[in-house]
Amino acid sequence: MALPIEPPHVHTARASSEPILELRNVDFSYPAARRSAAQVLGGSRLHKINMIIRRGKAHGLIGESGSGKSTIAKLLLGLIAPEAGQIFFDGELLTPDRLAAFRLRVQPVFQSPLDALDPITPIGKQIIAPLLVNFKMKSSECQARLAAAISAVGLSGEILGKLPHQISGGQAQRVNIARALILHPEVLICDEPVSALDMTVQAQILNLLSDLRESRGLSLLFISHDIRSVAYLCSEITVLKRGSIVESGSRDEVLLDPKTGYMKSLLEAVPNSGLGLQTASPSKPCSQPAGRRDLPAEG
Amino acid sequence: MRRNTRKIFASKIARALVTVVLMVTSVFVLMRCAGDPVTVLLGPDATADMRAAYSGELGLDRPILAQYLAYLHNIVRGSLGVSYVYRQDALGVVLSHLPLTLTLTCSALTLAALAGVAAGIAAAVFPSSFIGRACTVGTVVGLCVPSFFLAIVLMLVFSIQLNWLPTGGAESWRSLVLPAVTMAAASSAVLARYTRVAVRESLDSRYVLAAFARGIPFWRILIHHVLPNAAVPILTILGLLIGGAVTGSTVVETVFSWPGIGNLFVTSVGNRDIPVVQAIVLLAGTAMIMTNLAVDLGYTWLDPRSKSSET
Amino acid sequence: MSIAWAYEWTWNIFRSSKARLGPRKPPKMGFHGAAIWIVGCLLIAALAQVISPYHPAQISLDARLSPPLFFGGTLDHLLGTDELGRDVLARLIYSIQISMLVAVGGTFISTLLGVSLGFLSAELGGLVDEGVMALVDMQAAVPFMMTALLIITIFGNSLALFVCLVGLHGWERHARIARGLALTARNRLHVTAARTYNASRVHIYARHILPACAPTIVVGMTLGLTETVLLESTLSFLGLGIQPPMSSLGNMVGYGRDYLMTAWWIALAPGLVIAATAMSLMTISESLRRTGPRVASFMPI
Repeated sequence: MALPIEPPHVHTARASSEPILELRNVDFSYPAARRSAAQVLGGSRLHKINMIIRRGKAHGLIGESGSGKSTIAKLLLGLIAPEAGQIFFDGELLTPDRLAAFRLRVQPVFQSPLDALDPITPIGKQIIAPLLVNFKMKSSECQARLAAAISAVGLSGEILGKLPHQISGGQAQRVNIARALILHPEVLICDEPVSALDMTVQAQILNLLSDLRESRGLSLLFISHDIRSVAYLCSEITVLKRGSIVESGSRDEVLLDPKTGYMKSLLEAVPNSGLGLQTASPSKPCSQPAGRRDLPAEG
Repeated sequence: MRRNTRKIFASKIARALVTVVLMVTSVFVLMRCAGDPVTVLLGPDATADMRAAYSGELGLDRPILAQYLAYLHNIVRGSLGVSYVYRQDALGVVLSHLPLTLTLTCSALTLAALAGVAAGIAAAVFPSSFIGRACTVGTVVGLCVPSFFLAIVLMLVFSIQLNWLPTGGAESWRSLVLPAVTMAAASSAVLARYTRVAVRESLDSRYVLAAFARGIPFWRILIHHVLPNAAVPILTILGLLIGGAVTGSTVVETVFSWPGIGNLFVTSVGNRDIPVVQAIVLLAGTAMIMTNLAVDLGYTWLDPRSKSSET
Repeated sequence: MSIAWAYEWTWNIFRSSKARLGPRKPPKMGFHGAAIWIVGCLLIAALAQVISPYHPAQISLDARLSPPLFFGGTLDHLLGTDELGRDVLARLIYSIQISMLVAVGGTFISTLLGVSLGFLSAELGGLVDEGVMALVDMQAAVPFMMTALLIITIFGNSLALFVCLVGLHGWERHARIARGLALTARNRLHVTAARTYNASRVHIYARHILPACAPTIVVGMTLGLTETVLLESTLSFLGLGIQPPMSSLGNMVGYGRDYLMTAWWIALAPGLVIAATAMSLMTISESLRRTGPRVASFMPI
């Protein structure tokens, strides 16, 4: 399969860089009674999170498991409310009564694509469900938007009548993206969107996200524990450790000049990688293709 | 860990007490829905003096909460009204029927425990043999044939056709046989079903496979490894059956005119003798909740896992 | 004991355990027989007024206590007559109608009640959850027979009240199961996804959670139906359920008990119908459980 030779951030310089989604001093912890084992182990608490996602940019969020990445995704989707601090969307404070309008503009892409689809509903119905729930729309218009959405994610029409267990993981993730896109959102919150997929499919989905960002001016929050895919897709990176941000900045700053030992150890842990602590030339930080362990490292 | 166990015990006991209070409260609410409580408790043909005395005692002029407290107080004192039919203290009437019910229940449960556990083990060990199939079918039949029908069939065969056993009454041990067998049928079916599942589960486990691999003879595995592990669910079910014995015996006692609590229950419901029915419900309900509690506590006590797992 | 014998034993035991864990078995003979019986009963219940040979209350004093066909009876009265000369078959057909009405109505009410309360308690949590679960505990702790008898004593009896009473039976099991399933299902990712596109709670429960719970609930309903049939017939047998002039299966057995010495067929026919119906329902629920979801809490007591 073909990977783009040029890193995507080259094209995004023209996008305005006003903040679209902003976390200010957000604290969160799960109530004790509902804490699951994994949450007890580490990531149950977020502490003073400050983060800005800029319009049209891809923002990466890195951290080990349990560091609170998914909790941030839930906060940004309005699934849980922060204990302290505020979330701003497009300059406005996110309040419960604005949540419905907010959700039309911020849509998720989840980690396990097949779980995110209802197992007993045909794909087509699931993709247009957001439209039916939110708008009273004529069926011809629904069909038009459905067709646009699935062609945007590169699926053919025959998949619409199938059930989730009849399609592959990569297709399912495309379906999820189509379902998110059908509302014409401005931000996609991608919570580990490729980690459940195999390597070649990962690259396809990453390219799809990158293309969508360019063509539609979407902002992305890309959450992953895989530094290589973040490096490939994102122009800004935030590093999370045990619920606190330890490092944040542009890709080059974070990857090539890590300030904390934690980030260094994360980079060292990437196998077979050109992103390690070697002194690669800063001008070509992204020649490392994402998710391809078998390609030779550069530099 | 010791303190932890005590904590678990305390919370279970508290829960059972809450359930008892809830039950008493529901009975109270239901009784109040039925109409004038003095009439309800003393019957329609009570004298004016009695009515006046009782309404003073119940505190009907006071607010409902005070009445509720008075009701609770009466229950604690054991004063549950006067039976319309027997013209005696309702609790006394019920207690006088208790020994016969206990006789019937104990013999039936002994029979059920022996037959049910044996059948369950047989069905688990030989699932595809004749015995196993017979046990499986027998279980379904025992669960599905209503006990009143079984009672009638047994009566038809053994009392009317063969004339071996009496059709009813409680004169000698001979009149105990048919009711006990009928009552045991359903209970043993339940027991057999659970025993089969429990024994099967422990037969399927790895340590039994390991024991087989070490060449330990089958009966030793059964006695030393399988049965102790299957014992807890079996004992649980047995406890539940004991707790439910009063209602379980209702039908059987009625059919065979065995003068126990179950029989009294049905007659009183038919006569709408509310004090007696209330006394039976409170007594049997409390007994049931208490056996549940005892089984639960015993389970915590017996099973080493349930002590350490709750940290 | 010989080695061969021991081997045989061991093999037998473990083979059967393998078979149990193996692929889902298709429903067998028993299932089909049971299904035919139940469908037949429902048809009889629906068409009772059409197919019944006589009116159930029609008295013919000439043909009193006539035995069934092969026991010296005539073709006029296939299952014989009772001591008033009423045709047992006709009464049986009408009784099946009443019994099915009570059983199906009761099960429907109890499922509806249980599932809605279970969903409410799963969704709202907090005090509602505690309250519903306390009620469930109480209902489970006290045998239903007792509750039923208490209610009948206090409120008397009518068909509508009786159906509602039977409908109170078993709701706690449905509530517990529905609550448990909903608690799991509402954390599934596709439900979360639905929440992120503004689906309302009603939409989520109707479109996502209920379909996910439906198979388990249906298995629970078949089991509830078995218990309802038995409960109804027991109460009616004791003379506390369906009251004359209406007759139900249990009611007929109770009535026939008085004539056991002279006319055993009056009690035997409805008793056999009850037993067969309960067994069919149990067979069906077993088969459904074996092919469908496995839920341990379905073991009946």
